[in-house]
This record gives sequence, structure tokens and C-alpha cells, in this order.
Amino acid sequence: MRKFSALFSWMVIAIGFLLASEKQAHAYADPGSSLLILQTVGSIVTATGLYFRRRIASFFKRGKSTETAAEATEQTVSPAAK
Amino acid sequence: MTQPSGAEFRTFRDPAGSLTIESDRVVRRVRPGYEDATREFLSSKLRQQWEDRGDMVATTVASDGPDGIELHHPRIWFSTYPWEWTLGQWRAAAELTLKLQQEAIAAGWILKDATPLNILFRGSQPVLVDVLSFEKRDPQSPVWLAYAQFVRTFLLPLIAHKWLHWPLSVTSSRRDGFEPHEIFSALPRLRRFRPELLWPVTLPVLLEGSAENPENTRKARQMHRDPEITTLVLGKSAKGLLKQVRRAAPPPGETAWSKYESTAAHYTAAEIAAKQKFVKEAIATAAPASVLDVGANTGTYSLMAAEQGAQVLALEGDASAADRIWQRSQAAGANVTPVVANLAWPTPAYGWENSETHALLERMNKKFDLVLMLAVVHHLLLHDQVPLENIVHLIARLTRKWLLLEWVPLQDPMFQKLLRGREDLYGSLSEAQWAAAAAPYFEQVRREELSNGRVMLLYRLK
Repeated sequence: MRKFSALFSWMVIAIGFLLASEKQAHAYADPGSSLLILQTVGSIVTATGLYFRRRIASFFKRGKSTETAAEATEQTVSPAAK
Repeated sequence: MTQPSGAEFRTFRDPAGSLTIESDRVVRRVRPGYEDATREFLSSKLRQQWEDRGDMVATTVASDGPDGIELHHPRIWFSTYPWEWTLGQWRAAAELTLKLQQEAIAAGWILKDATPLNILFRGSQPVLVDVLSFEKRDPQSPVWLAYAQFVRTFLLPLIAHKWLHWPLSVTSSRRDGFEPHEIFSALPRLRRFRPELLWPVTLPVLLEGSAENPENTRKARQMHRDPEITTLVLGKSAKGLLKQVRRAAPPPGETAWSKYESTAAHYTAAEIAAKQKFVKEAIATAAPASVLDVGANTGTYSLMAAEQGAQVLALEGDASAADRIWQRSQAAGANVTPVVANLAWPTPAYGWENSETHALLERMNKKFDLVLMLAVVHHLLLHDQVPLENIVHLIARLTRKWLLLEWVPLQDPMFQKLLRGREDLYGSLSEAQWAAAAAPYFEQVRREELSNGRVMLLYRLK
């Protein structure tokens, strides 16, 4: 539950941050209103997906590197223990 | 009526430049403030690659100095507008637009306007003709400002065509396409929540309340993100649109017209062979560089003319039959451009002061060395009630030299089918009456009567 509320807070902060920055745009075609907002919803979904993919990937990488280090330690230690 | 000239046609909407169409070329002038961006795009590998592939019109820099930049493009042989395209052409134009957008994103550029009006067809191949459509993208912005324009002008007409059976030709009255709420209100309630309609139609309508607040749209427009994320987001949005376009524009169904040739009971195989032999020989005699095939059906004779070296415009009122022409032309790599239009009720000029697009007859005026009118005159006469003299007068305005005509006599089952009890008006029509109407403009070069009573005629303009 704590994890879920941390995740929710992160999303709110991220969306707030994303909407707060300003940039100039030069296109002259009507960018729409609801379709523009829909596009930003889509981009938030994509960015959130990317964030979690990265977190999951780094979790497994960390797990793998920890495991490798543990194995290496064991291998180093084992002969002496024997 | 005159050919479109520079004085008559000049674009004005794009703040980056204007376009003038001259008789043998297209001249584009870049406005002050946009020179550097234009130079950068023109010198990019991307532009060169697209030109080499034929995806973008060729550009030469005619002048680049203190007075600004002037660019020249070759003219595409015949301009057709989206409301004259077949479903397959719409799909091909949308796919090209999104393909270029995807490649532009990867190279640090972005498409700043995405409308079918920026696409023309060279034969059956779509070509992007607006070289000022690209700008360097802000690496931190995940917003594609032309996204909504793409949805309005490409995707929603295709969705309305698929789900509401609105003809694509209705886009002639909507320069900037459809708004989601127009499609939404026409859809049955339950259908609005189908997955392929939810994102482009229903969700935008549900978001309309939030979008009414200008602050929300301003913030959405000015979003700012990590460059890696923006590239991913923009790429995904183009990929998603591509998927939606392909779902909205599946291969076309068959209609009575597109089955016409295979089920033409009024022709035996021998008669078809005799007709084809006459047409082939007549095309060889005329050796045309340009051909107009009126009532082209599924394009058999258009393709025949293209095989003999001509550029062909295939005019067909039935959208499914015309789409078959496009498919056959594309499969054969033939120089045949279909146009969904009716000679008796031709496309008018549209836009500001009726000068942003040209009427079909204006575009076709004296454009063709040879005009094919195969089994068409009886349609114009009986279905559209156009007198023979008016038909001949129009053909003489279209052709520069030759006319190849198939006369369908009164006794023919197809003539009888269209007669519908009007014997008092048309019941005594004869080939002699046609010959008398044609005589002021044309001289007969060759005549052959087929065994089914139809008559093949080759004429030369006097």
C-alpha cells in the first residue's frame, strides 16, 4: 500500500512538472484542444510505461549483479574455508 | 477557360512561404525569418533521401540572396484533390505522411502540418509536395502540434467512411477535416466505445470540458520532457496513428461496377478481343503522351494506354471501381492516376475566393492528346440528360487531337436498361445523329462495328 501511494505521488509530481515547463512552438496548423490534451495523456502513459520498464530492468540488473557478486565472494571464500 | 496560371493561384496560409503555379513549374518563395530553417532542411540528408525515393517533390534553389529564397519544383502532371481520391489513395497518402514523420523524428525534425492537401499523386504513388512542412523539433517537446490536424483531416474522414458510410468526397466541404464530436454524435451509442473509435473519437469528446479551459491547452502545448522520452513518445504516437489508419481503411469491398468487366454479359470473349484490338491499334496510331479515360471502370483500357507509353488520367464516378484502378495501377507500376469524379457533374473550385483549388474541367482543359469515351455517351445522354451536341463540345475542349469512342446503339441491353420508358425522347436515336453532332469538331479516321452491334470509332480534331 505504501508502495502504491509512493507511485501515485510520483505520477502526480511528474505530471505537474511536465505541465509546468514552457517552450515555443512554430507550427501554424490548429493544434486542437481536446485532441491536444489527448496527446498529452498518451505521452504521459508512454513515459510512465518507460519509467516502470526502466525500474523493472534496473531491479533485475541489480539482482543479477548482486547475485554475481555473492557467487564471486563465495568462490573466493570457499577454498579458504575448505 | 485557361490553364491555371501564376496570377490566378497563389497560396497564403503558410507563414513560412507562398506558392505560385506556373505553366511548366511551381515557384515557392520563402518568407523573411524562415530562410535559415529552409536552408538547413534543404541541405539535410533527409530531404535528399526523400527526393531520391520519390517521396518528396524535387526542389532546386533558383535564388538565395537578400531578397529571400526562391525555390522551383517540377509540376506534377495532374493534381487531384483528396475528395477525388479512392480509399486506397487516402491510405497511401496517410501512410506516406506518417512514414516521413517517423523518419523526421529520428533525424531531429518534425512535420509541422499534416494534411492530405500536401500530397499529390504521381501515377499511383503519393508524393509530399510541401518542402516547408518540416521544422527542427524541440528535443524536449513530446507534443506533435500537427497531431490533431492529422486526426481531423486523415483519420476521422476514414473512420466516418468506414463506420458511417460517409463518402470521402464530402471532405471537399471541410478544408480542416472533421471534429471528433461530429463523428461521435453520428455514431450509435454502443459503437462509440469500440476500441478503434474510443481513442480518436470518444475520448476527445469526453475531454472537451477540460479542453475548454485555455490554461489546460496552453500547458499541454508547452510540455517539456527528457529528449529520450520525447523521441519515444513522438515515435509511438505516429506508430499508433498508422495502426488506426490501417484499421479504418481496410481493402475495399466489391460493387456491381467493380465486377462489371467480369460479368459483362453483353460481350462475348471474341467481341472483347475485337474491341481490345481496335483500342490498341488506335492508341498506336495516335501515339499519345497523355490520355483521359472517361468512365474508366476498373481501368483495363487506361492500363493499356499506359503500357503504350502514355500518362493516363482515369475518370470514374464509382469509388470502388476507381479504387480497383488504383490497385491495378500500383501493382503494375503504371502511370495511371485515378480520379473519383463525374464528367457530367465535375468537381468545382474550392477555397478562399474559389481560388485555392481548381475545378476539374479547368485542370483537364486541352490537357490530353487522346480522350477515350468507351461506352460512356449513352450514360451522359440517358442518365445525365446531356444532349449529344453538348457532349461533343466538351470533348473538343478536353482533347488536343484524338477521340476514341465506343458507340452503344439503341438495341444494346445496356442502352435499354438506362432508357427506362423514355422511348419518346430517345427511342429513335441513331449513330447518324451522333455523327452529325461530331462533324463540326471531328473527322472520322476509322470505324469498326463489333458483332454485338457496338461501334468503335476513332476521330481526329478538325
